[in-house]
Amino acid sequence: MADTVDIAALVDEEAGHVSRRIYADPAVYEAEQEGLFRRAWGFLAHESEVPEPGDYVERQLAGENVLVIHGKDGVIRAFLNSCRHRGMRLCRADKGNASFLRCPYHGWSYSPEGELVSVFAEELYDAEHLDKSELGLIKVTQVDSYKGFIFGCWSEETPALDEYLGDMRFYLDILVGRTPGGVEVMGPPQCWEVHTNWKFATDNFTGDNFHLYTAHGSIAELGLLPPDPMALSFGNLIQAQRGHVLHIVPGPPIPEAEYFGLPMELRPVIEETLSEPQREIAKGHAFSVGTVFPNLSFMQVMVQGDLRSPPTPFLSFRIWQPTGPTTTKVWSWLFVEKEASEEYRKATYEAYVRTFGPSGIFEQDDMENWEECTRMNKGAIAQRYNLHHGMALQVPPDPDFPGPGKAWPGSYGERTQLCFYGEWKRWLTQEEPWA
Amino acid sequence: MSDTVQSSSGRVMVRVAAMDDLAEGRLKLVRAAHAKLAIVRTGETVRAVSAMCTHARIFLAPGNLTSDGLIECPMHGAMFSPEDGSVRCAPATKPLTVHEVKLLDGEIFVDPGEEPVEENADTTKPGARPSAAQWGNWG
Amino acid sequence: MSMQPVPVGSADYNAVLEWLYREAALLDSGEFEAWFALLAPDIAYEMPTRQSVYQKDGDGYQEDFGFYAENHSSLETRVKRLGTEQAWAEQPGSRTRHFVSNLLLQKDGEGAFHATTSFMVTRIRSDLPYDLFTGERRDVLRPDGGGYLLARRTILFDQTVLKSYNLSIFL
Ligand code: FES
Ligand code: FES
Ligand SMILES: [Fe+2]
Repeated sequence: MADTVDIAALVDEEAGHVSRRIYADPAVYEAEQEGLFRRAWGFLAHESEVPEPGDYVERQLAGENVLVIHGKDGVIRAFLNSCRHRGMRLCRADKGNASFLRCPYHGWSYSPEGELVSVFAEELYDAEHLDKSELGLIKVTQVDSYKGFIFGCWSEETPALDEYLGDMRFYLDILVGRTPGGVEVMGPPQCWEVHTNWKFATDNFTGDNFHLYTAHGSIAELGLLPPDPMALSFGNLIQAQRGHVLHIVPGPPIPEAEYFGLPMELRPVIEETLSEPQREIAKGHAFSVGTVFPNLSFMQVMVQGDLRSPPTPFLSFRIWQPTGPTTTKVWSWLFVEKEASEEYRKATYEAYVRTFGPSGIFEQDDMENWEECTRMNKGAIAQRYNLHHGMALQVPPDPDFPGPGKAWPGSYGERTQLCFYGEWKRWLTQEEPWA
Repeated sequence: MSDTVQSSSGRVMVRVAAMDDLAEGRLKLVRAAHAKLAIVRTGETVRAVSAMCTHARIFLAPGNLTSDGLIECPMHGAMFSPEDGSVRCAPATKPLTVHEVKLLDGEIFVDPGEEPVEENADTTKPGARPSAAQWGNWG
Repeated sequence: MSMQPVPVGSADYNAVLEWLYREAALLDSGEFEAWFALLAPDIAYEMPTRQSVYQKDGDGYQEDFGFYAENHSSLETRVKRLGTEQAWAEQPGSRTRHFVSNLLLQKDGEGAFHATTSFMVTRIRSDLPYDLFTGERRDVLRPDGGGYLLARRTILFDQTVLKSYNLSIFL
């Protein structure tokens, strides 16, 4: 795809070697934009962000500004947020509600369904020079949703969303489809900018469970992590399908830590909603972190927001949006069950904000690491030496694991990160990486 | 020379190194039968302790004794006494095991001790679960 | 609650202003435990998120969803964390300057002072460029002994997308 760089040579997923160039090289970034982000499905918004007709939010898909808007007909669509006349940015707010989308430059106006409705001084055009039916907003090529999560894709060839997510849906259901109502956002996304390559974030969210006791050593020092650093090493690393990976980790052997620590009052309905193997997985685990390929990550974890609060679960999804070879914009949403009580909403919000997001006592230190990793991997000399992903590669998958995909016992390991890099390589080098 | 000698209590001690291999205050990683040990020389005395930090099971050797004559864990900085294995500084809480050492003609013999019973499950075994003790009073 | 304006230059005004300056000095010199001692046990320390919205939709602040949602215990946790060796985001520490200005002061019926100020905080870490944090603080200061305790701080931040990689400092 890129002629200046041999992408295939940058990742050796068998040996566990990853070139430092993938985190810093502008040529890799360009190849990635073309081969990956303009072809893969990307998360745009959750339905609960645009509940009413006319509601919209502005998002980004492969670096393009996209308007996600709830039509008067109830359909949620996604368009390039750019007027067909001179390309002006049509909606200039992060969110809002509009009966029409009026361009601030010369006044071309569009319906929330994307048709060009009116053109300023329309009588001065003749039919040959103005065909409004051809000048509707530019549609995101494919738009679809899964359990309220709206995704977009710029390529016609890419398989439909259901097929793209494949067996990851089994695991997503455990997180976002475990009650009849499903989940909804709590507030807008927190957004912030980090001088890192986006893959340091996904590297962390595709299986790095073993950074806890060093990167988050301060939390261990405060006594907010279990005393034995191997306590969190149980569970499984899972490749649900292709580049979609996650890990699941059991908590202490107490009922409070089953079902990810979710409130007791929700558990009967969770048990009813999930299938038997999903129930078994949910019951047995307190933590799960993973990534929907390529850059939508999630975390369902129990944390203590402060020295006095009990471990409290939260569910966050985040996009690591590349904005350059070494810059990333993070969008992080907090989700909660529609059925959740006010009391639980407050507790999960506080647990999340105090520990994750830019001020979080955990996440601050992640970003410190990712920024410095990125800086150190820029050097031509540094780039002569590969990075190391070799932990627990000898462990065979568990043939009796209840869920689909492959599951390797033990959550400390680098297997799923290599699954991610292998898939990344396929998208950058193959015509039909999904085949 | 034989690779093993009998300890005073009749146990088999294994030759692991020669005195000349050891620099003053420098921890060396050795294997004695099933045991991985850190041995260290101070003057004419050699001591042997279990080689893995009891906190997160990482190797304490190679390394150097601190200026106070303690073993410092390279990972999170726990300190242990090479004399009795006791913890002198957090975050480790469990002591190292001490192994008997015998010096014969400049050769070092160590008692590997009993094969340890793993108290915690192997995390890479299907279905393994953490014990309550590993979580301490978390939460 | 009946609010009385406190005139610029009055004794109360000067005392609150001096308190704000001293607070800033503690934060800039890394004396976080001394800073923590200035907080009331029932403190609420919040920083709403903000979105860019058309003016008809208000100022874009989301009161109940922020970058900070702190109480006394969580601020204590943060201060203690800064005292650990592995708080990497602040090891080595940020070098900050808190500039506090434009104080407008009111006194409520219970004798607490409501202080609105503008702030600008610069931060440098390592050899990196400046991070700039600007906004408005809305503080409630409760008289306590000879001084005040901070009972509430709401930070109205100017950025919608935080242009810094973390908020490891207090604003
Ligand atoms: S130990 Fe992972 S980057 Fe150094
Ligand atoms: S592993 Fe030795 S102190 Fe943590
Ligand atoms: Fe982390």
